[in-house]
Amino acid sequence: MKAKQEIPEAYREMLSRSVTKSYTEADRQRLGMEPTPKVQVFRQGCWTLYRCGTDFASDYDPVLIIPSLINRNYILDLLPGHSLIEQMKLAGLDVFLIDWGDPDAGMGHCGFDHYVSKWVKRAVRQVKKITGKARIQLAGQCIGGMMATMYAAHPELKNDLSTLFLLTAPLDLADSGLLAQWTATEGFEVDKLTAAFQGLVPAHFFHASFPLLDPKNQLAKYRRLLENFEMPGFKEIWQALDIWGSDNVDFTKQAYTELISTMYQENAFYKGEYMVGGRKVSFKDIDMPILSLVARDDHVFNEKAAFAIHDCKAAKQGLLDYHVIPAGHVSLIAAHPVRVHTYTLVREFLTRPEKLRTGAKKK
Amino acid sequence: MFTMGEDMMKQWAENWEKLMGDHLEKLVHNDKFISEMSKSIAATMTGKAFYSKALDEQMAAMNLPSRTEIVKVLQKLTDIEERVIDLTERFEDYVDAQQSKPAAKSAPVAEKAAPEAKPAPDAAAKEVKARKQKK
Repeated sequence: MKAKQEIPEAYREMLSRSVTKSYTEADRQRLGMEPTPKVQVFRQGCWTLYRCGTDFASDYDPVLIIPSLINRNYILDLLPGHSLIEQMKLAGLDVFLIDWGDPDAGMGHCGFDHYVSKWVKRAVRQVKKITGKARIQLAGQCIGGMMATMYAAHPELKNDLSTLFLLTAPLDLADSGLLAQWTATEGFEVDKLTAAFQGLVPAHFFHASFPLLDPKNQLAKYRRLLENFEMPGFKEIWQALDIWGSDNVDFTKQAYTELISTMYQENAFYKGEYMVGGRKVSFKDIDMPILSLVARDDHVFNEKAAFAIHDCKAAKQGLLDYHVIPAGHVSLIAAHPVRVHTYTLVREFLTRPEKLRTGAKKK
Repeated sequence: MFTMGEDMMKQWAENWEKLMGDHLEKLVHNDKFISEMSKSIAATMTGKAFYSKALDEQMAAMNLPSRTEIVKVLQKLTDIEERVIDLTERFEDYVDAQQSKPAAKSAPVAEKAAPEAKPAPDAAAKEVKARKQKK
């Protein structure tokens, strides 16, 4: 006769905490989230610029990371051994990180143009001033990658940069997946959808639809936890990702409207019609070394959205290094064993960009 | 290891997960469903916006600031902060430029003597002549 297997009490507890999203700071500390120490070097309104680590000496151009606007930036520094920033520091890089914080209603009129031409520009200025370097390496994740691309495409701002590193950054949003399909549907009018919001679009409004982007994965989430419960380290990374996934940020109304109508419905950035700092910018003009990492199983944007980077000047000059990693939108840096491959590519590009130029890969 | 009953439960749970997953996948890819959902949310939000406007008017009648007005004030504060930091940066740039050119201050005579500072004599004479003709 088979022995009856008990569902562990710890599993029930984790399940309950996940469903009710009742996580606290103590959970973050117990798991050791955000292992890299950070020093605040600049602050304006809701956003802050941090310098990562304690040893800042570096032979390379400093790196400034622009995270996404949708979630918190600690996905880049999730847990020890699951941290892109930790790996950058181990490679001897001087790393700066923007924390977009919690925007208030007074920032509701700030769209992507404002984020890039004012705030990213100011962060770049601070990094140059602090390090004394004339150029920096700009990195962007997800929508942060789109903003980094805007910066690198601007005819004046690009002079601040030596390289561009894009992590799951969408450029061509037409037919880029389920989100693109939803926004292209008849009746999806962003002005009406946001009519009741003043200044900010609450995180719970747009995050309510996120689980529907990958419903099968959502349904399998708790089963996978149970099946792998005894696997060393699995519980910790599962819970850290769950904490991050439930820690959502409000969007400024202007940025949200632009993301839906200008970027998705009009695909204006891809077409070179989006204005940054009073100038139209086209990513096709980027001519500096680029590393673009794309997730094969990305449920937010498909590979086509990122593949567009092959249309830029840098790709034609053999300055683009493009890799499709067999992992998901965030697991390629935070969870999946393949993250080690991601870390290697990032370290090598940021410390020796000239040696990694394998040229544009054609599809 | 699972008992026989638990094996059946497990199988049932797996079937349920698969069926629900397939059904949801079809639903979220269905244009008609998405369109109706969007319209429904938009109608709710339009109603909410109408209610907020009515509330604003009530606040105004009581001589109290409404949320709309507070948001406008906050936006002005954001703009002012932006402007102050812009000016600070420009001032810092100016100071840096001055400090990096110490020789320029001690040579004002050289600046005065620069030939391009004066208009060419022919051009000046022509200008005087043109003015006289106008008069």
